[in-house]
Amino acid sequence: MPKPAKRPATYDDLLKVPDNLVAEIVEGELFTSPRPGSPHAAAASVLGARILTNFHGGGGGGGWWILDEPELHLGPDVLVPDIAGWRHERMPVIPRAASFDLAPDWVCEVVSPSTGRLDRVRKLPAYARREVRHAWLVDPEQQTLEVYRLENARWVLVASHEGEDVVRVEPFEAIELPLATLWLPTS
Amino acid sequence: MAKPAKQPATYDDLLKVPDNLVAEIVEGELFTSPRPRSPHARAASSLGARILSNFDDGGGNGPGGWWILDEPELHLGPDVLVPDIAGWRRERMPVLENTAAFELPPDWVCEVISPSTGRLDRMFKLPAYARSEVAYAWIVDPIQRFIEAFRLVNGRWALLGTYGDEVARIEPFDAIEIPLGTLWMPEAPSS
Repeated sequence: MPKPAKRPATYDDLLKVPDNLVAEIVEGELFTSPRPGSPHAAAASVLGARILTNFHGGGGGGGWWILDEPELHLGPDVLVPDIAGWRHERMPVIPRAASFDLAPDWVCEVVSPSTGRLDRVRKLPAYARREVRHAWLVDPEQQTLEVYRLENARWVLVASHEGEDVVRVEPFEAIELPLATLWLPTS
Repeated sequence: MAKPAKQPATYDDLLKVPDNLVAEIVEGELFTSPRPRSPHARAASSLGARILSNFDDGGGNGPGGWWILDEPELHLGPDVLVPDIAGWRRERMPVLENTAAFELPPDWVCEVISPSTGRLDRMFKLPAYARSEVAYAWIVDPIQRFIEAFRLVNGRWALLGTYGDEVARIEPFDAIEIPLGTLWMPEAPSS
């Protein structure tokens, strides 16, 4: 992908971004995204809570650490997924840190008209480069869930669900997920 | 996927849809879509022309080997689908027949998505194309200005790549370079 002919963005550039924007760096380019609207917030909050409640916890817990909007430092990229999860076997404890250098096992991006391009064109390939195993894309406007699994360094679309489907979706197929709970009522 | 508990739609139902709508049937359900707006039309026209002129032998100046058609009606088992563009390799379809609809699945389909069709394209049509073993599918988003290219691997869609404003070589048409900027409306990208 052609890059702007300028110096790569640094973490100092990222720190200068106002707090009301989410700042990320992918392939040396700085991206800023507005804070999300309510359909995005509702989907991320409800989904995160359901996964966290069932899977998050140490010492005989659900086997995962689930975090909302962690800052990931993956090589030169600085990425903030809406939700991320690490399996305990790969990250036994959550380190006290401002950011994570260890790639998650699962990321979830809630896409909106303003972030869809960044999520699909830039962030999905960046997660693949760092061998994140699963990525979910949730679109609260279209009321859809796309589930991707990394196979041979490539994302494979393993499931597409929508609307009021009640689904079991890897890597969290141990629970049923009623998608209707993620969406705001349509006006 | 949850389906309405009603009688499956028939081709007669489809024929009753007004001509100003595109009508399709997937998994027994009738879907109608409005005619597309200009960003959609520009992307489909520009991309279709470039691929046709290089790969449909009528063009005469490219690698050839394909039939390329805009908006063919496909009858794939019980599904009636209309991709924005479709291509058949001539080794699979030696003769382009005079017909209202095609029962042989294409080797490549391209869907130009819009806010009103994205859900149908991603949730219903992509799985339908996979069931019929279409080898390649491209999703083009002319508003957000990118292409996602998928190849069918063991019955599932593998994402080959995502492409924005660059000059790209994309399977199965990687014999040519496509300057993707020519597909989009002249305006700033959304991100």
